Amino acid sequence: MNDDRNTVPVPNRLVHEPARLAILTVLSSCRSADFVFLQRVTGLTKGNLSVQLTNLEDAGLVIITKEIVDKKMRTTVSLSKRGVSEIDEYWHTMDAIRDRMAGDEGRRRSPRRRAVPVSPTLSPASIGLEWVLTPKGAHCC
Amino acid sequence: MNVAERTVTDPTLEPQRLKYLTENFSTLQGLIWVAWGAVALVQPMQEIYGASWPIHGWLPLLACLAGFVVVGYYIPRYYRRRFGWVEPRNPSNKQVVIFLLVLVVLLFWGRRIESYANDLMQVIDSMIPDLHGQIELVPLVCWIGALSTSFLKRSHRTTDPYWIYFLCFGTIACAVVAIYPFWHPEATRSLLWTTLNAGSFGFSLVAWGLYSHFTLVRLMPKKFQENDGE
Repeated sequence: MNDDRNTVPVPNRLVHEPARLAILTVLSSCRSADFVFLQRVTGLTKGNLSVQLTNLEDAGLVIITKEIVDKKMRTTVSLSKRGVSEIDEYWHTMDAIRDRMAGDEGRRRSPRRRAVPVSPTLSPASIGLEWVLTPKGAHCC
Repeated sequence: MNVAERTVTDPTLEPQRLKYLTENFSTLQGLIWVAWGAVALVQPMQEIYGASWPIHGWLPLLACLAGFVVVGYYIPRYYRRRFGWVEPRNPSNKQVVIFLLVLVVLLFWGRRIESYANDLMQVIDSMIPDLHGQIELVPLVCWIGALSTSFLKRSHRTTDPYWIYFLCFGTIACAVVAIYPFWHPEATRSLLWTTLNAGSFGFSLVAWGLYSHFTLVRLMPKKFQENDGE
């Protein structure tokens, strides 16, 4: 039986990918955004952004609307209800991981606890999450 | 290159910056404020410089109309083409409540607040003898208000660390123009002080707009990046 202390919450891999996370972060801060804005603010190429949006749409996290405005095609993207819940769940998971890492670090440093078995060393980098360890609340949606 | 290495070195995907740009996209379109500031300068400059001001006669009206066209059509079109378009979120319940409260206060107690404000302005004017209310204090009050509220926005200070310096500089500049006649009353007869004082509102709008626009440009990624994708 696994000890709960040794279990690190695992974020949604679909959301966790940096480009998709950036897209979902932008969309969670507004009602909708067009393709040009998503491309400019994330710095992704058109092709890459299209691929990521398609992945997110197939997963049901975003809704893509295409319309013709002034004889030009405008692509507008917004979060679906599932996308809203997924991004919120993702950040809660990140908070849980951060709190977990802080707790493990405190146990390792405390001399009184050295006699107590500690959980295996888990660093954010070992599970690809080093970049999210910004000050708590910095990502607050 | 694993995910951690790629994202640690990639500031363009920083969540805080993304969130700040998206939520403040409309207010960062500073060229609108630059245009309004230029329009606000037309009338005061005409009063100061008279016939020597190139824009006189019916041209100020034309300049104002041109300003409206630029603000209403060309500038939004420029931002939409260059940076795209964002539909902002609906105001939160807290914001709606605050707005309604302010509206109710102004409706029922607006006259009393206005009389208090006039009394305050008379006290300030009495402290500045021989100036007869020449000093424009509204821009200074606006700068002080913006500087005061900036301390409440932690995320703003984190994403744009130059913001506080800009507000301090603007406040000090406005204060210098407003306070200078205290020590040099003859300054009120100088063309420079008269121009800065009369145009302080317009100059403030232009400065505010330029800073906002260049902040938007600065925070946007400069180059497009490739991503392996999954």
